[in-house]
Amino acid sequence: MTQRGEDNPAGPVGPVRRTDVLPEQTQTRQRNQSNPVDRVSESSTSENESSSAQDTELKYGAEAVINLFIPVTACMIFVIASVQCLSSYSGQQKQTVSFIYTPFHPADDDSAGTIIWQTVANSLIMISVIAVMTFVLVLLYKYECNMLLGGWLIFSTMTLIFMFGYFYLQQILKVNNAALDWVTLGIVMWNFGIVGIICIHWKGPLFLQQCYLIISAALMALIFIKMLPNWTTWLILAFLSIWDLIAVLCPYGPLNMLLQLANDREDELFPALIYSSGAGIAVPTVMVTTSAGTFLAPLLGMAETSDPSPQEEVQVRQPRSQRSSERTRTDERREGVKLGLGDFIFYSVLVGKASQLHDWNITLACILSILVGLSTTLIILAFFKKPLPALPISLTLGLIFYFTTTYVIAPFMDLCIMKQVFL
Amino acid sequence: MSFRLFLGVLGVALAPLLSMFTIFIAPNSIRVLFWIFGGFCWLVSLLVGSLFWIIWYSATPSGSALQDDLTFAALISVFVQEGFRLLSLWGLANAVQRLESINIRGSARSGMSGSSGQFVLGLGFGTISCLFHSMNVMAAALGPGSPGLEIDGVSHGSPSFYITGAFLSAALTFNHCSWTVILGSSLNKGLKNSWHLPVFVVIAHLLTTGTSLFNDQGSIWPCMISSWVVVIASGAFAFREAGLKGLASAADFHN
Repeated sequence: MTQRGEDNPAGPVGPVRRTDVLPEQTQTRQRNQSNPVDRVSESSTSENESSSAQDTELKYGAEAVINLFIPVTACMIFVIASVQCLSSYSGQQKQTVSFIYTPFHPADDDSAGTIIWQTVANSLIMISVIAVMTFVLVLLYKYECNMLLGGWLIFSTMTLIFMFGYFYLQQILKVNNAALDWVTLGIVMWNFGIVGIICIHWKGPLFLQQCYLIISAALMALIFIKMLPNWTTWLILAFLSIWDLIAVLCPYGPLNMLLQLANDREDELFPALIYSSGAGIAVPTVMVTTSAGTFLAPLLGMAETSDPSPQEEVQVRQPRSQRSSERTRTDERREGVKLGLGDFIFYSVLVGKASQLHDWNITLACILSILVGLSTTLIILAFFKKPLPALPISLTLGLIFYFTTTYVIAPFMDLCIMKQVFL
Repeated sequence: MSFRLFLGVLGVALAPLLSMFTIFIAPNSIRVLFWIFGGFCWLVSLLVGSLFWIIWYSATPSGSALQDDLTFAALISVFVQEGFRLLSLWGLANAVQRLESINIRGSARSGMSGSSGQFVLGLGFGTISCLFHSMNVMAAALGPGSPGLEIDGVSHGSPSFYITGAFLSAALTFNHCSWTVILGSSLNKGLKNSWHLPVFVVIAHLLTTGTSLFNDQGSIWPCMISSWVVVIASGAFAFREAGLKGLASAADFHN
């Protein structure tokens, strides 16, 4: 099984569409050269191509945006609900465990200078780890160490789903003061985890796969929310958006190289790509220190949520009668806009951290500005038609509105609500 | 008790919003985008308004009654909001024009032409303002504690605090929709020819906000009555401006 990371934690939004022609039409045509039946049905769709191409593109454009909004919002809501309900994530407990990459833990009563240098040091270390891991990933991909890459990815997913899933379940049980025997726990975790691994890495219904991707992104985000000190989080988010900008847009940026490589191989190995273009999970493995010791925690990288698993393409080839209708359906989904799972994670980190303040206005402002940033990115994407980093605009807007809402809007709105003044 | 109160407040405050969203916005993805855009515009206008409040707050002597007075900030905020409404309507008009120039089969497909686009934008304004005014209240309704309890013979707030707040938030949703449609149609006709429409909008907005300034001084009724009278009046006005044709295009939410 070949795993491909086409994206990265701070992954770009990759447009699948190439220049002028609609990709659905190009690709289906290439794929089904030998099928007269299909070509007939296709010619009917491409007949008024010139007149309706842009029209379709517009509609697909808006739909693609919404198709991204739904999983992003779902992930954020999952994280917010967890932060609100589970005290372990709500930031009120004293932090005993933390990432090895953020060695400094400024206390609230430290002087401003101490907090500043420790925060900056933490964030720089964290960002350099992410950068190094991305380069390693690109190198592995470049020299086709598929075994190593695949092993890494599966191992990451496994730790993520099993370990953090177990931790999450434990928190739910604790909060509800419920008891559960180890046998039941083992069976539940085993089934949950194995189904997840199979769905993400091998085959499974698209919906289930998407659910697992969202859950794993949310679990990862929750771990970040729990582990990272407050100010470090904000600075890391700011640095990440800069790093994302560099990695995707610079000619020798790692993500740019990765995408180009993937693109080149797509042209060479076209049939193989159909099978390997499923969810590609990649990325930095992060060391986590806990009181129990040190273990490896995967930082789940990206995958394309709007990408159907490759098996569906295979299935589609079999039943001839239903074929054309099914093919259009899968193709529509295949040609969606891709968003890295890393983007999901860091959007959720921002929103989750914001919701720790238990002021719903701040949370809402962050969600709104992230969604606006995401749609702005996608609108820019429609103009430039090349991979763009999805973090910078969203995170910048999110951070701006987090701070302005906390320090300017929230006090004002609180006063207004107390006095029932409606603006 | 507090959970039932929460459910009641939730229903009253969010029902208009949710029903209009599911019927008009959700089926059309382009509308969802503009809806979010409208909400964001309201958020930015609130930010500008609260910057004025910060200036007021730091300029007035601390601890004085003047410092807690919201009159200046609320009135400035009304004008800022109307300014942003005008700007966003202008942006909307440009965007819809571009959409229609791309869209060869007619504008009905984008579902954003004329007053339906303005309605979508207005619902965005209304949604976020309603949520901003009601979400923290609803979260507080879940407890612990509730207002109106007498502690040592002193009543802490009005016992009907939650339910009046919910009704006023709901009115806000309706009002923003109507005002955006009215202002948008005035923009289409040219502001000079239909100057009475923006004036009506500003006066209506000032009326609702102005009367709500008296809410904490005992009586909620001036604000309640004026808000809902304004809802009916601006609703009728917006209906007249949009006309039956606008209504038909607003209802044409398929595609």
